[in-house]
Amino acid sequence: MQIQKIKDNIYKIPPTDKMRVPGRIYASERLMKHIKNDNAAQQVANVATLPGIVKYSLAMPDIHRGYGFPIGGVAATDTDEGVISPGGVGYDINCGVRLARTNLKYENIKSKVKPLITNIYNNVPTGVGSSDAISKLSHQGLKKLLREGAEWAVKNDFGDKNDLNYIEDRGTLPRAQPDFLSSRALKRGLDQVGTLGSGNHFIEMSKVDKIFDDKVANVFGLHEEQIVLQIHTGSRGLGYQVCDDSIKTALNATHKYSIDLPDKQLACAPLDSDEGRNYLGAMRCAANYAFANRQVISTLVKRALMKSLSTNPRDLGYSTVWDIAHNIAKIEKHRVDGQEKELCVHRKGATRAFGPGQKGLPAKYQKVGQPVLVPGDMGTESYVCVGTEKAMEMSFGSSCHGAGRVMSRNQARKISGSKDIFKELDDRGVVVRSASKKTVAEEMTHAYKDVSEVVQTMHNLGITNKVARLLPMGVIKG
Amino acid sequence: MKDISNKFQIENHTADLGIKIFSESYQAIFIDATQVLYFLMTEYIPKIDNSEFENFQIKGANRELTLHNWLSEVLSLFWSDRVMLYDITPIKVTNTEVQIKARTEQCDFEEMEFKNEIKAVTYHNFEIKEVDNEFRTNIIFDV
Repeated sequence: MQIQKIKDNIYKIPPTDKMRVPGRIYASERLMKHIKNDNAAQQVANVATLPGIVKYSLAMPDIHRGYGFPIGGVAATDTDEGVISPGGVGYDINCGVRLARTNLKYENIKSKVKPLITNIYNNVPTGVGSSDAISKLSHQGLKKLLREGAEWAVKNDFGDKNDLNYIEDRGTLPRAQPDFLSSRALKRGLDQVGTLGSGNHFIEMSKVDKIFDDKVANVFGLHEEQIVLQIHTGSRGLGYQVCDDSIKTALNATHKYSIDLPDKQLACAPLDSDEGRNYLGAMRCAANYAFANRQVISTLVKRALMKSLSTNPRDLGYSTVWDIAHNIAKIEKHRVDGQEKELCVHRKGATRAFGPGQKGLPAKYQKVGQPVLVPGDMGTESYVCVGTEKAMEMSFGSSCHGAGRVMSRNQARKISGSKDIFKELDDRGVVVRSASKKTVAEEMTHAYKDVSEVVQTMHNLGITNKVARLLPMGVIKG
Repeated sequence: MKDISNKFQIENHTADLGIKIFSESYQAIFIDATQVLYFLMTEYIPKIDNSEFENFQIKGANRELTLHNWLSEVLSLFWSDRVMLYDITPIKVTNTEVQIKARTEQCDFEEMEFKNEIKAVTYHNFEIKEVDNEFRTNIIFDV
């Protein structure tokens, strides 16, 4: 496969064989070396074979090898002629990140990080198969949650109505169809609302270490030395089951509609088909589950902080900056060759990065664009960026979602070897609580690319602009 | 349950968990792959008793999809119903259908030590190859 450098930070995979459009990778030269090493570029080319794909199959600089779609991939398909692929969303539907700010200052908190993190850890169930953060739902209650998303959580006393203004799509994707979910998917969702799960999911307490753009940071309510919290999780077992069930249906649809694909994991169905519509209806349920999950966890975090610090909501000032989905498919309007078109934008490990003036942004962010949250790995910095008009032109309003792995979990564990990772992080001023030591070894810094370079690449391209850098103080891993 | 650590190897995959399973026959893959799947997820080993066998029937368009559908069923039973299978005995195995009887144990997740949260059995590079009278199965699990 040929990869051509077009200009700084932009690479092209010219269309060959069954590719309908070229591939395009946004990466610095150094990041490109990682990308070439792990077969991710081939996956970008494979995605370009999807019927109805528009302009190019895109990859963000944090791209790495997934299954079917690469992680860090973006593909937009025409809603009239194109397809939707459950694998292009992934198993953890609406895995995403929430950022909450507080009135707390680093100076006043730095000596209390350990008890604060421990208290949060004790209040949010973490780890494999975690459950029972809140009372088990009835089937009827779950279906209501699947239709309402984060709004369900607010109605049930988890958070404030104002939080909804600062969640992508106000935390509720419309036209969710709970009746399209299998009984197994529903069963898996009954007791996992408010749980973090395992793997790379986390809760992190950080301090705002540096502001790059005062004006935008001010709009986002961020300032240096401020304490903020990030929550990274998704739709838990319900989402995994929805995806698994849907890929089976999509495999049949691929055969039924004579779609020729290089990888079964790209199985898809025309958007204008029963199979396509049913997946959208089911996927929206899982997305709403994830929005509700992060809303509940965020409230549990807030309560833990209030209790630990014996403070009240006003003094704590805990409020949502933004909540984003980075595994999702959305029906959006974009300009293609000068014409406005309705597209289904698959973001698999990619974040929406809408610029100023876009429909769907809260009034407060209309003039500057939406926050783009880019968490780093456990021991390093994270970034808050802002979407731009260029993102609308260059990436269907999308950006990177994290640092991106460079090595397998198995390799990461081997390299971590006998190191006392908890002590190493402690020495660097990062308190870690985890349900599993193994997860911590898998998620160490050496397993990831340099998040600063990933973010800088998007900044240099003008797709997102840097607003603030966050440094970790305490991390809870699943 | 037999020691199955020598029946598979971990393959490097950047994001997920790739494995290669070595089996004596196509039929044996169904037992080996199920045990490897459990081995990767948990330290727990079912308490063997003489509970009744349950019958399972799974179909697929070819032998890879039949195995894939079987493993997806095992995984869903585990996470959704919290059930583990043991004494897994294939009764009929063809390229497009498998009938298996197995005993089941209802698991208590509170009592179990977990290793990996395997979300799904992916289709990516899912392959059964016969090499020198040995069956090699490549699977990538989403973790």
